[in-house]
Amino acid sequence: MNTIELEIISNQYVCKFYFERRINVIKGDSGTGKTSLLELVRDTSPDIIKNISLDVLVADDLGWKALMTASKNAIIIFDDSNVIDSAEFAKCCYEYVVKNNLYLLIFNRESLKIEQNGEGSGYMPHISYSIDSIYRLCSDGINHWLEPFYNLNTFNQSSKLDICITEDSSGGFEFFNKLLNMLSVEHSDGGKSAIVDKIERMSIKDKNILVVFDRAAFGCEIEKFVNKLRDYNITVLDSYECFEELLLRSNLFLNNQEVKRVFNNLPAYANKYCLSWEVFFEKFLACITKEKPYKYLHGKRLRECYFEECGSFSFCTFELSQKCDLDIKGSKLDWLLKDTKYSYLLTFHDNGKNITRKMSAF
Amino acid sequence: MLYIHVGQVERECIRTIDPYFNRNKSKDWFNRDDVKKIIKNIDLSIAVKDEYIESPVFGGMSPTKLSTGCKAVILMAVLEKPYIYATKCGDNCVPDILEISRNKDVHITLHHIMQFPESGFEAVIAESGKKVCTFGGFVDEYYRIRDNF
Repeated sequence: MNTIELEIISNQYVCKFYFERRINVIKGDSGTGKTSLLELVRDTSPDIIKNISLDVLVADDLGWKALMTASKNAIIIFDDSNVIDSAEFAKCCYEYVVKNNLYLLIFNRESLKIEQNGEGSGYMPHISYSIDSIYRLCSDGINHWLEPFYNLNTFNQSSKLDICITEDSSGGFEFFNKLLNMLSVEHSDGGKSAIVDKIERMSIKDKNILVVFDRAAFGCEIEKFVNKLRDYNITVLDSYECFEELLLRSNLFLNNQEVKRVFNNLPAYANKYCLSWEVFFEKFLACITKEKPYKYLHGKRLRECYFEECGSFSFCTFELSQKCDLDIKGSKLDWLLKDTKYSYLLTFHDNGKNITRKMSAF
Repeated sequence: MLYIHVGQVERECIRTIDPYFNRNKSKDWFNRDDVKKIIKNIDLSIAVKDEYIESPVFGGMSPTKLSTGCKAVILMAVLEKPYIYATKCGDNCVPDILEISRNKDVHITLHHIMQFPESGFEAVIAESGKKVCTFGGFVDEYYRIRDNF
């Protein structure tokens, strides 16, 4: 299933919602019709027209766990719930959402970041959700629809940049450091939750900053990012899910039928296996490269195959190159990204010949 | 004065706005000018008399059908010592919250960044006692406390 639909039409209320991911957060002003929506969801009167991809259930603070455990193939709505920042809720999401084919619609202004105190259940990862699945509920009185909640400045070829900060400190950082060699590139030194502190510590308010974070899993951090850095000149990458997605969209996999199939129906594949698309891309890339010399493992050092000319580095021996399906001469980065979704990143790549801007700026 | 609590929700704080409001509402509330104004500003509805409200979408309706944010702000106006979980309030509630807190002490708990104006308001962050007068000051103090939980 590609897109989940939730359409409800009555004489006083029309809503048409479409979403692609499993975890969806809806915010907005008071009085935009959220309570009325819940009433209509529960109402089975024949005058109400409903086009809904799956069953819709409304969770309350007492019965939510039983609902998540027992329901299958359903949209579950959490309305101003007091449990969504609990470790128990996160645990249930990881355990049941994919297994039971659930889609969550969470009406809440709080972040899904887990409150650390009082839970006593040890470390629990925050729920990974995309900034692109945080919506604003809009209304003109009768009609109701969803719009993206966060509109960040996105990178384009005319963007002026001085510095790049990456969330990733391993492969992604290494790649962007090579790719954006006309800029100073640094990593946050602590993942996504350390980006804001890193930028504040660097005193770069007067600089044009490109921040590379995984949109697919930045939902918990975006409120802080937007509000704390509102006086900075920040640019982000448009629809950049994560580093692995960038590699999968590169020319390295241009003729890979499996990759083509996945991107033609991404929500269906990603939602089938993982709660977060970030994790899906990590696993998918690892899987399709596992037998290759350019094997990729998330969190590990990136092999030179992704940025150095074939045959030009010690790992790429004659014996290995005989088994490899790559033999790219010239700039590997140019070849990888040319005419792809991310070709605009080559604007700040000059094959390493001229890096005076980087050297002089910092 | 507006007192903003950003830590854990305390027992005295009204978090379940809808049931509390529906149980405790009194018809006199809806004849008050300040409450009529709140209903008009947030839910674009008119409190005609007692508990009769006219909504542009639903027509005549009971106060129980007001939005949760509107109910929360009404409670701030009518309770003697209000202490409300204001993360239930959308940003369109901010002007009314600030207006009420100009005339009396209002305690709210916030677990999100409410979009206060850039300047021209006053609030005290309850955990630190720090007074904030700008949106930036509020954001900095909010994360300073919450990041050190």
